[in-house]
Amino acid sequence: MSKPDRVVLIGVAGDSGCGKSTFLNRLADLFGTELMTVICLDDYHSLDRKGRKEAGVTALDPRANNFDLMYEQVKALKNGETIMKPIYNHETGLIDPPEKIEPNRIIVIEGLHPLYDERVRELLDFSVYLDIDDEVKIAWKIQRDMAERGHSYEDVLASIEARRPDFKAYIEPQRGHADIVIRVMPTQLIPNDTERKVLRVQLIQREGRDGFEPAYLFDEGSTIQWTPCGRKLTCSYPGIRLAYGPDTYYGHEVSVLEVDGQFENLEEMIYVEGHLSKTDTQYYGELTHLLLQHKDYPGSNNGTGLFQVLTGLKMRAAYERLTSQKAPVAASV
Amino acid sequence: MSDIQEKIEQARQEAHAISEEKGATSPDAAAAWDVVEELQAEASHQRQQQSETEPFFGQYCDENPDAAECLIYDD
Repeated sequence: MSKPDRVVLIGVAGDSGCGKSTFLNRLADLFGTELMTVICLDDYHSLDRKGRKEAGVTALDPRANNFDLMYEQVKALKNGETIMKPIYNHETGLIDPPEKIEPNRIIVIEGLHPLYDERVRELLDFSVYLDIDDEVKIAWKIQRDMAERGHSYEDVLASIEARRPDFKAYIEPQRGHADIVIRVMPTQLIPNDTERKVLRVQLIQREGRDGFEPAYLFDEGSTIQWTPCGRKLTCSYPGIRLAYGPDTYYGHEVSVLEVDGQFENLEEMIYVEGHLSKTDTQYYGELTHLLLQHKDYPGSNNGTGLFQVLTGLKMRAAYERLTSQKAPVAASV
Repeated sequence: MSDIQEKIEQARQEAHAISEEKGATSPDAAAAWDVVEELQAEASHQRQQQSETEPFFGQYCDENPDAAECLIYDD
C-alpha cells in the first residue's frame, strides 16, 4: 500500500466492558477496515500480569505502561512509518514478540490511556471518552460475565470497588481532554429502575475545537427539553425524552445532547433525526440508516447507539476536513 | 475456552484471598481483581468471536474457497 498523505489519528478511551468494541465495530462499518487500523493500547503494558501482581499495581496505573514507547510509535505511524509494535497477550498475560504495523489512512488508538500522556494527546486529531456510570457498569458486567460459572454479583462489585481508586486517579480525568464524551446513566423515565435496560445517554461535545461543530437540537445554544411523543408520534412505555443545552465541563464550554428512553421503531428514530442539526450526515436519514444496518449491536435502539453513530459521523467529517486541507497543498507543489 | 475459565476461577479465588488478607481496597487487592477483569474481558471477546463465525460455511469456505457451495461471483 502506498504511503498515505495524511494519517488521521483517533483516540477512543474507556474501561473494559464499556462498549468499546461495539463502538469500534461501528467505526469499522463507517470507514471500512481497509482504511482503518486499530491499535489496542494494552500492547504498551510495561509490566506483564505477573509483574503487576508482584508490584501490586493494576493495568490502570501509569507505572504499568510504557508511555515513551507509545508516543514514539504513535508518532512514527502518524508520520507514515512502519512500526514493530509489542503484543500483550490477554489470555496468557505475557508480552509476546512484536508485530509489524503499517501506517494507514486512519489509525485508532483504543484502551485505558489514549489521552493520559500529553505528548500522545497532542498527536490526536479526534478523541472520545466512553463514560459509564457505576450502576450501569455493574449491570453490563453482570450481563457480560453471566456465561461464566461461579460468577456472582458480589464479585463484580468487589472488582469495581477495588479498581475504583486507580480508575478515579488515572482514567477518569481523561474525560476533560476528550472532544466528545458519551456518558451512560440510568434512566429517569422509570422511577426506581433496577433493570438498567432503559438508559439515559449524554453526548458531551466540546465547543471551540477547530473544525468540529457540535450537533444540536432545534436552536443552537438554547436549553431545550423535548418529548417527541404526542399526536404525530405514538411511543410505547417509557417513551423518549431529549434534552439539549450549553454547559461547562472540566472548565471548558460544551454542548450537551441527551436521549433518555428507547426507540421502538423506525418512525421514532427518523423523527428524532429530522430534528437534529449539524449531524454531518451526507443524506437525509443516514444516521437512522447506519443504526439499522446493525440492529444486532448492543444499544442500537437507544441513545448509546445513536450517539456512537453520531460520533462516528463527526469523525468522518474531521477526517474529510483534514485530508482535503492537505490535498491543495500537495497539488500546488 | 475451558483453559481461560480455569484461569478466571483461579484468579477469582486469589482475589478473594488477597482481599481478605490485605483489605478490599488495598493496592494488592486492586491488582488481583484487575487480573480477573482482564481475563473476563478476554473470555467475552473470545465468545463474541466464536458466535460471529458462521456455524458451517465460515470455516469450510475459508479452507475450500473454490468448492461449489462457496463460490460467490460479485457481479
